[in-house]
Amino acid sequence: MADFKFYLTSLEPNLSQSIYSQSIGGYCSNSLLYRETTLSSNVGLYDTSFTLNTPQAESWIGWENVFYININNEIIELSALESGTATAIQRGSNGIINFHLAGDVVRASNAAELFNNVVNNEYKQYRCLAVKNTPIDDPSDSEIANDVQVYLKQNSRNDESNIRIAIERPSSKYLTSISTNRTILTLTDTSLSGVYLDDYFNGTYLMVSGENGVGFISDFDGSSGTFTFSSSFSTVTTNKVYEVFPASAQRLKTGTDAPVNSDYITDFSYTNSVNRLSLSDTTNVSNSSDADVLTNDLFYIWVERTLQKGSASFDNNDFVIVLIYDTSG
Amino acid sequence: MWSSDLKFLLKFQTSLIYEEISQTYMAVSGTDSTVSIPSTGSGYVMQNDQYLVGSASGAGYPLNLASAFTLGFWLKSVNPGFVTDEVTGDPESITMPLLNFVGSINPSDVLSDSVIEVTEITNAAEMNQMKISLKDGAYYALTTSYTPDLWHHFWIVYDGSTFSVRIDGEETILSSETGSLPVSLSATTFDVYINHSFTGYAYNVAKNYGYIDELFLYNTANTEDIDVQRVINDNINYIANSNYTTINNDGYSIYFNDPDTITVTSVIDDMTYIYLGVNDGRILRGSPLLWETRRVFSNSDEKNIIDETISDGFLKINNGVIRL
Repeated sequence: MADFKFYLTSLEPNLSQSIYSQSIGGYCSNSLLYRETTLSSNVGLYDTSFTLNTPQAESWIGWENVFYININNEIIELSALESGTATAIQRGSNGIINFHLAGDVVRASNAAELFNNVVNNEYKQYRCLAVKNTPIDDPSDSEIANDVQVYLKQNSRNDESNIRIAIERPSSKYLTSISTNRTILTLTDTSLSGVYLDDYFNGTYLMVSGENGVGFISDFDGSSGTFTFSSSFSTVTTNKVYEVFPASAQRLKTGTDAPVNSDYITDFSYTNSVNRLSLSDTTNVSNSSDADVLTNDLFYIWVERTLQKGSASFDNNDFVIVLIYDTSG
Repeated sequence: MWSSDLKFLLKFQTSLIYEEISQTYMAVSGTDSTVSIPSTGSGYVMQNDQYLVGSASGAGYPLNLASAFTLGFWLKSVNPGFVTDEVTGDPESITMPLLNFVGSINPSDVLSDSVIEVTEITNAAEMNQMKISLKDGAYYALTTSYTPDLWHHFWIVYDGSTFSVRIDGEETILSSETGSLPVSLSATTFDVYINHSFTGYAYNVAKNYGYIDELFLYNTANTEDIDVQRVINDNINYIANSNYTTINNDGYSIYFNDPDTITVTSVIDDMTYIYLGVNDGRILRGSPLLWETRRVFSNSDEKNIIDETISDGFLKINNGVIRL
C-alpha cells in the first residue's frame, strides 16, 4: 500500500525546515508538515478518549502543545494529551467524523505557522508542500500509486479566508541504481546509457549510499549515463548504490509571490470531489505514467490563501486535501 | 468474492426506492405514499403512516442466505421515551420496527418466515437498543445502548456459529441472548420490509420515525476491520463499486490557525539597520536610532499594554504588538 506523507519544502536539499512559512518551494526537506504516530486501539465514531503509540524517534518531545490532531481526514480537538492518552473536546472539528483503526496514522496539527499575516497587494500568500510516496515498512518495497489526483475536500471554515491549490510535477523522477565509474566530479552508470535524454537530471541532486555529501547535477549525458556535479565529492568509490532525487519545485523569493506558469504546474483551482487536479493536467505530459507516483517519488502541492481585505479573524483556517490514487496497476 | 456476494443494496438517493442488485423498485405502503428523502442525502425518513416493502417485482430477492450474512446500514434513531403498562402501571419500553427480511425457508413455502428481524427498543436511560432476531426468533439478542438523534452505523454479522454486532465500528457486547443460533438459515428468496410490524401496533409498539441510509446485505460473513472502516468513512460506494477496492482515498487535514505569539528568534545589527528574525518567518528591518529612541522614552506606558517575557536573552512578546 502506498503511504503518502507531506513534507515542508526548503531552499537546499536534504535539510530540515523549521520555519513553516518558508515552505515556499524548492526541494523536499526532511521535515514532515506534522509530527506523527499511530493509534494503539480502534476509535469509534463518538469515542472521546483513546491512546496513541509512543512515536518511534522523538518520544513525546514536541507534543506538549498539540491541541489538534488529525486522523483519516478528521480533525480532533484535544483538551489533553498526556503520555499518549488523548482526551477529545470535540470530534470532527472540521465537520468530518470517521472510524479509526488501531495502527492508523495520527498527525499532530502542527502547521499553525504555515501561513502568516504577510500578504501581497491582492491579499494572497503561497506555500508549497512536497507529497512523497514513502515506503511503509521495508524500504525496498515498491508500491506505485497510479493516476494520482488531488482535491480539497474541505476549504477553510473561516469565511474571510479562501484556499486554492495547484500541483507541480517534478521534471525528473526518483532513480536508484549502482555506479560503474566515478571521479570526484562525475559518476557514470552504464545501465542508464540511452535510457534518458541529455540534461534530464540537470538541476537535481544525487547521494551515494554511505556517504554524506550531496552532488548537485550540473549536467547529465544521456548517451553515456554520466552525471557531472557542480562541486566535488571527497571520495570516488564506485560500484555503490546511489540515489537521484526528484527535481525541485520552483522556489519563490517570498511567500507573497505566486509561482510562475510552466509546463509542470497546473493553474490554481478551488477543486472538489468531481473537479480534481491530476498530475496529468500539467502540460508537459508525455505519457500516462507521468500521473503515477512510484515509491520514493513525489510531487508538489501549492497552496494559495486569499484573505478578505481587513480580515480580523484568523481562526478555523483549516482545510482538507484528499489524494485519490489507484493501486491496482 | 466480496462484491459478488452483495445481494441487496439501497442507497436511498431518490424518492423512488431503488434496489440496486435486482434493479427493481420497492413499493410504498400505508396511508401516505409520499416518500421523504432529504436533498442533503441523509437517507430515508421513516414515517408513522408509511412503510416500504420490496419483493423484486413479486419474485422475491434472491438473497440465498445459507448460513451467513453481513448486514449494514446507517440509522439516525429517535427515542419516543417510555409508556405506562396498561395493567401494572409500570413504565415500559417502546418497540419500533426497523427491518424485516422475510424469506422462504423451504422454497415451496410461501414467503412467511422472518429470517432476520431488526427492531429498536427504548430504555430507561433515554437511549435505544437494537434487538436482532434470527429465523423467526429462534435466537435474539440486544445490543448495548446508543444515543438517539445521532447517526450510528450498524454492522451485523453471522457466520453460521458466531453472531456479532458493531455500532459505529466498535463491537458491542450483546445482552439478553435467548435461544440458539441457527445452524442454517436455509432461505433463498426474500421480501424486505422497512418500518413494518407484522404483529401490529399497541401502546408499547410504535412506528419508527428515524432516518435510515445505505442499507446493504451480503450472504457471506465479513468481520474485516478495514472493510468496516471503508464503508463507514468512504460511504456505500466502497462496496457498491468494485473499483473502490483498489482506489485509495487518503485525506490530509491541515490546521493552521495563525500564530498569536510573535517571538523574536534572532537579532543582527549591521550598524545601519537592526534585523529581527521572528517565528512566523518574517525578517523585520528597523532603524537602530528610532528603536533606541523609543526604548529610552517608552517603557512605562507601552510595557503595560504588552505581555512580554525574556527568553534566552531575547524579548518575547506574548500578547501584543510593537509598531516600528
